[in-house]
Amino acid sequence: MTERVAPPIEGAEGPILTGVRALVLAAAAVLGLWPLAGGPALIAAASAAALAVIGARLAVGRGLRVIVGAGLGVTLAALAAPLSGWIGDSTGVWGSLSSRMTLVVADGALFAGLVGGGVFAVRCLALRTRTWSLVEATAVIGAVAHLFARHRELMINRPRWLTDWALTQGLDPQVLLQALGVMAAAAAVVLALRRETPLKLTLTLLLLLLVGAGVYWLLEDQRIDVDFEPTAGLTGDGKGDGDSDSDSDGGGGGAGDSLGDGSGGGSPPPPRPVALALFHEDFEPPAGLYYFRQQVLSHFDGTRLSIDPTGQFDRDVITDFPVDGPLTAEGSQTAAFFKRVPTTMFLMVDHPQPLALTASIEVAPHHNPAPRRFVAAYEAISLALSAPTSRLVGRGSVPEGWPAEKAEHYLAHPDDPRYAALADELARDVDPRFAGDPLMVAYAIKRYLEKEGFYTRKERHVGDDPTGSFLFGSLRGYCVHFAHAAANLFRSQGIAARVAVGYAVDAWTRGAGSAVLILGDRAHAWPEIHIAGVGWVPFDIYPERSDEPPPRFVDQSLESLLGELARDDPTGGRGEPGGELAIPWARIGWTLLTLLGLCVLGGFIVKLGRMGAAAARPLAHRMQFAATLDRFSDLGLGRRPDETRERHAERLADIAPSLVELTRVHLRLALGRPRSDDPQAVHTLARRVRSEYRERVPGWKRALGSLNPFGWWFTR
Amino acid sequence: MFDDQAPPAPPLAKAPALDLDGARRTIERVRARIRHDVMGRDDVIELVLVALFGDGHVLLEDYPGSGKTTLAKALGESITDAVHADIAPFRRVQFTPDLLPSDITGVMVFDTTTNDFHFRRGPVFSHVLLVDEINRTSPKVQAALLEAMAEKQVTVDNVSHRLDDLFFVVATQNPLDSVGTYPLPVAQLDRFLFKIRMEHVDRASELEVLASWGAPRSRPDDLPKVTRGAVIGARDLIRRAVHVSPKVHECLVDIAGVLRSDKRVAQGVSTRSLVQAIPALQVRALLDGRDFVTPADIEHLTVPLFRHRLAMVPGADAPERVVRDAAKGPLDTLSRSTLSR
Repeated sequence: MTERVAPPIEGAEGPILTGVRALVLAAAAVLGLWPLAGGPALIAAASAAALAVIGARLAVGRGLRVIVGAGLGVTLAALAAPLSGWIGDSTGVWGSLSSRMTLVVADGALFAGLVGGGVFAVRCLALRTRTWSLVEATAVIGAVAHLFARHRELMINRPRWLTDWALTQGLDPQVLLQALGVMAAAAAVVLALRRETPLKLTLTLLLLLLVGAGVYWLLEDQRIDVDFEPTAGLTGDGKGDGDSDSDSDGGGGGAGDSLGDGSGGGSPPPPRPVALALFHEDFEPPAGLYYFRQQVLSHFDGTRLSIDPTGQFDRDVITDFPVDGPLTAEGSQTAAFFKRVPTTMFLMVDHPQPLALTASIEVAPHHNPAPRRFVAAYEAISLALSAPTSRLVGRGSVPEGWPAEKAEHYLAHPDDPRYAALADELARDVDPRFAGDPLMVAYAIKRYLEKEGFYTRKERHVGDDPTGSFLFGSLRGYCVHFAHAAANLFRSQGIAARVAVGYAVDAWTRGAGSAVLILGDRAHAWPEIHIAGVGWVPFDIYPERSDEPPPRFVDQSLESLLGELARDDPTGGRGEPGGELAIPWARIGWTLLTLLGLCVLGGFIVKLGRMGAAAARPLAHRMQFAATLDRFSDLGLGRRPDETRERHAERLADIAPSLVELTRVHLRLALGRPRSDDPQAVHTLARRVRSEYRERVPGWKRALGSLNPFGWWFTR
Repeated sequence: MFDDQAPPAPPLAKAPALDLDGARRTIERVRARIRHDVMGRDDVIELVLVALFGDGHVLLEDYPGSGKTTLAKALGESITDAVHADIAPFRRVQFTPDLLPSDITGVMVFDTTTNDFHFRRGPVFSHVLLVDEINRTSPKVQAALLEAMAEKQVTVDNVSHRLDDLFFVVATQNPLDSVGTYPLPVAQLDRFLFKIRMEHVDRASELEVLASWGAPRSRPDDLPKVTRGAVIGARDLIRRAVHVSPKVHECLVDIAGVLRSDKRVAQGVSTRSLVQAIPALQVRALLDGRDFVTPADIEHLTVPLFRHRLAMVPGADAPERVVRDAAKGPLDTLSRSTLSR
């Protein structure tokens, strides 16, 4: 026949299937670009993918040449980057749109162009040559895998609305994302398998295997790659690291470092997460710093301050971890001046004492949501200073109620007269109206140290009185030096003071959300002074000059991720586990699994039933024919809807030459004038076809076919 | 060649008894003769044979110099008729704008010797008539020819003259050359069983044509002619002996239904086209060695059967595509139905 007719569109499909395909590819675009693009760009890319699918179907359906379509798609994709660049650079666009909108438009153009062009090109090609739809399936699976991979790189927090929702349901967002990914991959495979060929079947199965292995591998390796090796300083192995004056610890710099060894061991180690604090409610520290106190040093041993060995003092500091129940501090703080801040602490590195926002008054045990990641978890209630400074003025330091022994403990300082002399001199500068006021004197001392001091970790101060060496020497040192110097000066003026050690986290370095990640390099020591009628308040020195680099931003994704892990339970770590909102995912999963299992079982029953019926009734020619075709359908070689029986048989003639004759006899029985021996001929031919099938189809393929429960479904 | 003395074509003598194999051999004999003369046109030859033995007519849409005269002539010369020697095996008429109906049907002439009018036969009184450029002549002439095709008779001066039962028209038109033409309306195109669109022959066949040009062409002896009676006998036998299942009828009606409801189609196919399709399908089944019609026959013939009978809405797809799309569903249903009772 010589009609000038374009070759049939191989991938021709109905509007519903095109719609499903558009949805799947749009979802794949969103999944794949999630770690890369913002919301508007994701919407643009998804819309472009969907439009490209529909556009390609319509364009090729209306006679657009496939190669032209593919060229158009590739051109569009290639133009996306220059166009986006032009939009970003063009002063005209910047002028007419806001800068944010310009970036949104440029991003949208880039991703929409790339995705739309690519999908259009591949879709055009796939409409003509089926193998190209494998590229589509691969792209979908690749998008999912990409999300998984990024997800492993701690990008899990990107779809916040999803992860937040999952967290409120008490669900690990990872599981949800993986479920979404597997669904997308399954949809892609179903679309690819719809028009099945042996090559595609094999490749698809391979892809499935790869995806399965990839997911498995990702699941195995999803542990956050954080090295929990303790750093020098406050953290440690229980050999008295709280004693920051131990000269033996010469590791990286920090509060816990030796007072005498200012060298700090050279360059600081890379910061490591040591703990995570989850605030139950918003809290912004007044000075822009979160002070997490671990221990205080108040005992003057003749040289320096150390932990009170007697246990009589510092009873407002909780030094034990809660095990059986809450531990309460002996309160010396007056609640009116403080804000109550409940937090949940998760330690990632062993600490000898619990760490809590200063000043903690109660710690209570908390379920550890991820024992592999957190070494301890506990609730802490802290009192953070909230009263303005003006309300602290005009009070004494040592309350009258204190026993003499206690006052002496907090005022003990070196005999060196230079301390008192310097402090006296500084106190004289105080505004006469406030003369003698402990707080104002303390401010004067603080100002002096801040103005004159130089923060560095490179200075060494050794000897019997390293603090003196620092204060009356170069005034170059780090936090431990400043804290000790300040404490000694305060004490010489009759202000009860002590040194607190722990971590100070700059509020501006953290991300949004309720989690604060504490890194090892934030270890710090700061003085605390006592104000009568108020309690202990942190009184840190901020030297104006420093050779330290500013603190780095916390890795916000890590912070967020750890926060999500910490909020493992449905109520965010604040209430009884197992809230009412929890969705029975496990039950839903098992139900779906059971349904799937029943479907597979049903498929096998029908399959075996058809085979058995054909074997039992050799002259039932339709059954014989159908049972024979089932074999081929199992391999994805069923008759296509646009194929006649004869063409189908000719297509399979390489495998089973007798199928052509079998088909002819079958058609004679169905549409012609049957001969009396035709049913017997069908039986004989069917047996011959099956033996040809056994001879020419490799064993592994036949085995795969026999495992296909739904092959008969495609026998038409 | 106009024989005004001859009476109208007599009723046919009974064709010799044939079986389906004999009928098929007859067709193959004609095919072999045509293939000897026309190279690289096997697909067209098959459709022409299907039309000849399915009692239809064909419209070839092609360009000049593509061998259609050769084809029609070879076809005409393949058929002999010793009984009716007065009927020409092959005639060719070039349709021009000034042609009159009587130029093709025949005319009454006055015989001075007998003082009477006699009918002088036109070229329609032949076995195979090649009508060149059918769209170049006026609608009046076209209508006269189409009446002859449909009724197998011509009427001159209120006297009807029967044409030969074998009467077979091969008409041509050039689709690109539309200046000064009278395009056939769909209603008239409906009279043709097939519209066959020809493409250029392939390279090898074209080379073969060049190589054999000018050389004396001797037809081997094993390519005998067939008789007119054999052709007509085969036609009757095929119509009776090749089985057409009711499911095939349903499939054809369904295809027509889909075509009529297709939004791209302004006017669907006629019932006459379905009636004409049956013998064509039977011939095609026989050519494939079967005595029953299968979906493959329908798939093979739907496009040439229905393509030219559709009036498309402006801007719609090519009719070929529409026909193909329409046939898919009913054909699949027909194929599926063979697995159920």
